[in-house]
Amino acid sequence: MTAINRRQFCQLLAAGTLLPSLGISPVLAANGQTPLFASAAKAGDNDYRLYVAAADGSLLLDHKLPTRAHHVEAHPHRPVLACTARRPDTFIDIVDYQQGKLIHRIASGEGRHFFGHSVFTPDGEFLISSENNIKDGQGRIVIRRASGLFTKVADMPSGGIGPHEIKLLPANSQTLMVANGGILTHPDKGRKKLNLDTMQPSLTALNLRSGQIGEQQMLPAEHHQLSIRHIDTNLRNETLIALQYQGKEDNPPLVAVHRPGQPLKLLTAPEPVDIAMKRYCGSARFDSSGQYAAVSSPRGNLITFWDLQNDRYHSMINSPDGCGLAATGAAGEFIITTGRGICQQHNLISGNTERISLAQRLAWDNHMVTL
Amino acid sequence: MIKRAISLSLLCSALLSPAQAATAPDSTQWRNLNKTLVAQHVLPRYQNFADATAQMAADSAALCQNASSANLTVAQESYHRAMDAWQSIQHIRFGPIENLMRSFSVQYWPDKKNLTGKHINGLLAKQDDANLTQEFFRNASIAVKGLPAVERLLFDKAGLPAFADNSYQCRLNASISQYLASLGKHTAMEWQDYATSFSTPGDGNSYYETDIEASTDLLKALVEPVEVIRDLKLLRPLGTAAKNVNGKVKPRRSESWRSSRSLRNIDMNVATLHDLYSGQGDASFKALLSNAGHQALADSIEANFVSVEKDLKAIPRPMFTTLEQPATRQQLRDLSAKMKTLQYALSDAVQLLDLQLGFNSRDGD
Repeated sequence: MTAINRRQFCQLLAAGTLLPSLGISPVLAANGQTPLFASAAKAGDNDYRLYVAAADGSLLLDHKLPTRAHHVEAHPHRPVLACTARRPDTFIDIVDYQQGKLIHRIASGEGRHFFGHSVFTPDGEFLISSENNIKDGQGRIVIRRASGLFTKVADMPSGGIGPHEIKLLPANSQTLMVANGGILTHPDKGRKKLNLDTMQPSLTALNLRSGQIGEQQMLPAEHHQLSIRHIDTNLRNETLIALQYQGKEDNPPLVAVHRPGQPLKLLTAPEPVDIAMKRYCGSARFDSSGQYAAVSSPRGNLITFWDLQNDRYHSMINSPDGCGLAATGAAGEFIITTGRGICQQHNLISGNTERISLAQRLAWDNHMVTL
Repeated sequence: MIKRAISLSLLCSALLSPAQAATAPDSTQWRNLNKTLVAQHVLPRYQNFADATAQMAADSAALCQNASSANLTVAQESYHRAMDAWQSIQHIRFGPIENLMRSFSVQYWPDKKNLTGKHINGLLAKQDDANLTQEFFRNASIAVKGLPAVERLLFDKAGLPAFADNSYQCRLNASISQYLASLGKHTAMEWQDYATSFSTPGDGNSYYETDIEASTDLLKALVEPVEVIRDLKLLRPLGTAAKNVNGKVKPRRSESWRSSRSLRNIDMNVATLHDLYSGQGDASFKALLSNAGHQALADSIEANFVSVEKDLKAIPRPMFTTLEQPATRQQLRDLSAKMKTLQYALSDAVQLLDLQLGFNSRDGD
């Protein structure tokens, strides 16, 4: 990072230009096919791709990736996707899905790898990613310009080990919520988890302007093996957390919520549902209203729904190997993708579930985004 | 892992001569397999579970009417048949058994925190008739309404006096048995409807969009339990003796040890998986694997099943006590190794049949 770039970034923040622009969403005229969602998927042996699926089930984009990816982020007002490598890989593909071409492939650079997640700032000017500084295993948050050569403008400590998903607080686009999963890995050891006995995950509120940690919350000591990995934020500055358990207890809590200045609040479902979640959640998303939340449990083959008005479990549906979640425009409604190639739409208020037929059967990866 | 990759690649190159290229089954073959397995393997087993739990409910009620030694034996025998039936269908973890977490309700195990014991003792201490209603059991903890709860009550060391004079313990057992009979009946009935999904995937009414998606559920039911049986039913009770001849065994970790049927459960499990693999002749995973050009692997899986069954029979019972004998421990370690071989061979078959059992569930991120 250079001082000038960093200063420019701070000036932009100060000028308030990071606020969301009013929705100039891309319109795809191609044969009336409206883009529905984007997700990475496995298409065959060692064949990983980024797809955009249309509402009619056709595929509008088929982009070959170097290796397996994890999260896909949509640019707030350009037809551009950022598809981040699964740990411990080192690329983010920036793809124009209208023209179907790779605009840029970001490399994490010497001594770094990505953890699978990145987000655009609401003005679309910057891309923020979670990274591993391999030498000392410390998590880093890196801000790059979201155009041209995607140069780094800031590089700051994440406040922990293994930062995974990151999300801006929408009501305050200078605060980045970081899920510091707490799990130490090293590329030389593949995906092996190296510090399960001592891991200490945290949810960290990072001020992007100063790089300072505003707030850091940890779970009580007896829950230190609950990795904080997947999060989402809503307009009320609430952060929804999906946990992954690394310990040996039978039935740990797997969902939590954070409100600024308050400790993390663990939520539980009825006992059989909690058990059926198999100690592992894969993705967390708020609905468009911000009141309801969905959490996927791909090992338990189910999706649970939660009401954040009263912090209670709402309902569940079965979804074999279901993981990818995204809100539609309707309250209480989500799209769900699965590793078995299924795409469903579920509305928790009506209880209605529908299949969305897709042209091709693909193993959809952990995360997806509606377009 | 490396060894495995090599064995698979050798296998492929040995079998894939240019003249006889391997091809994955087509959707007609998958559909034929699905319909046959559901009709011949799944539905009869759910019906058997419904019948056995109904009989257990009747015999448990009769025990409360007349707590004779003969009636206690009959009730215990009918528990054994219900557990046999469950061990022969527990591998099917999809469909109606998923509704309301029925699968966990039938058998919550392993029960590491002794939830069943705590709940049952709590109910016995309270002696509240309100806790004997079907409504109570619908909402009760899964740890208190399954076969392990029945086992605890029926195989109580206190014996016959615990059931005398229409005791609370006897009525609690009869109520849980009644709940299980109702669960068994409804699951079997709902499966009749669910079964139609295998004939018409993709028609809008089916739970499946494609034949291969339905086959994936069935193949998962064949492959995944092998690891579960090995990990939970063999290695956990072996404790540190699993790896070390001088290690310490943990007999109370054996499944159903109170009714002395830990190995009988595994007999049922293995026989069931064997039937799912090759029991239906031309419409079986074995036949599809052979037809796809993988005869050698198909035969070796068959041989693995036969060999595991043979070794199981030779292990002295009940495991709860024989676990203490060094010779039995060695037999169990050998059996565990054989099951690992079987597990790997089945995983190879999954790859060769071009099915994907779990993508996100195995990701670990």
